[in-house]
Amino acid sequence: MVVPLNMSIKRRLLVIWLCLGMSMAGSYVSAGDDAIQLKRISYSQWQEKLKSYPPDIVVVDMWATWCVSCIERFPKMIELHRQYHQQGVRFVSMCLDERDDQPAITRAEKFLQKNNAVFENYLMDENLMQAFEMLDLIGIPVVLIYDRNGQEHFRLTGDNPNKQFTDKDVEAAIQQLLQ
Amino acid sequence: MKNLRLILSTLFLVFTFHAAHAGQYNSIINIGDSLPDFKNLPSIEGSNLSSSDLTESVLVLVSLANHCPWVQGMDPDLVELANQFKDQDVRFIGLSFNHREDDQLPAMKEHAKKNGYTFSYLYDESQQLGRKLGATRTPEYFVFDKDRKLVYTGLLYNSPAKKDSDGIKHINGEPSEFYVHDAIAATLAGKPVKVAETRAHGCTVKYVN
Repeated sequence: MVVPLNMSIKRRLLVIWLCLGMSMAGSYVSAGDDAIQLKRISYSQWQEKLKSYPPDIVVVDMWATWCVSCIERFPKMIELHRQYHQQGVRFVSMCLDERDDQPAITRAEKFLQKNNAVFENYLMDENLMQAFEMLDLIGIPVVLIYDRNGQEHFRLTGDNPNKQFTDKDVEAAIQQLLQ
Repeated sequence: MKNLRLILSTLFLVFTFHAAHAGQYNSIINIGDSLPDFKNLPSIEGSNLSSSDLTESVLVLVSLANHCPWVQGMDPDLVELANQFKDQDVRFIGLSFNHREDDQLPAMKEHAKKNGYTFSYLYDESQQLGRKLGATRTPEYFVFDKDRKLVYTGLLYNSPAKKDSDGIKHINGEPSEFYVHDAIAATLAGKPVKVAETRAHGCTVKYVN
């Protein structure tokens, strides 16, 4: 900010106050614009979206606010995003809260904001039980990893008590696809 | 003759579909499999329970987790269901597998008292029974007949309910198909269970690697 030297002190102060005020207003609007919002996506739109990702490797985290395990392990997703996003690995979150449960959606957005989830964040815009059927999910958390050709290469789930996935499995899968 | 062929081919298709459906949502146990043995699992009543202690005609096991909003949302209906069959030869047993503090025995006792559980609630700390049942979600039901063969596994009914700060809400409105109730009633009557397996919906049981 440059204030002309020939202005009176009072006018200079006024200009400075005005500039400060505009700057604060600007940052407020900016914070609102930057706030993480879930984008609704239907199952068919999601299938189309997946086709648009190659040649990126895509890591999809299926989660919901009602899933405590999902909440607990989500920060690892953020860590992996920071570590790998510059190597052509795209991270996407897919929220499986009920599409008409506005309080849950608000909680989900606040959670993503708090965790600085600066990647694509979707809300599955389908009936919840049908969404599980269409996505062929038994339970969540689930991490799906698509290769550079857009093929689902890894489906990491908790569906088998003897083979539930861990954070290490997610990272190992990413590293395998990067080789 | 044509009608007979039609009936036979329809029956074949129905049977094939049914057979393919069994085990669809459970990676370990299938319809028709035997109840896995369990020994001396501690219950909220202060006693231990083994599978050999059970003599009832129908056994209903349900995996639960105190912390899970889907368990909390369907607790009243579980209690009501157990009460519906309290004068019949049916045994309900709740199971907890998670190692979280709020899913362990002291918390289970509190949860059962608060929610009016009228049945045994066992803590499977070793998770061996949970693994053998392939129990991965809460709540998830397993109904066994007199011979201790699995006749139903999955959802309580067709519209799961979740409890949060706004109260209890069903996904699809009021339930209209009562899978566990119908499986118990059919088994008591010596009839086959029409819907033997459904995709249970709820929280995931966390097994220790």
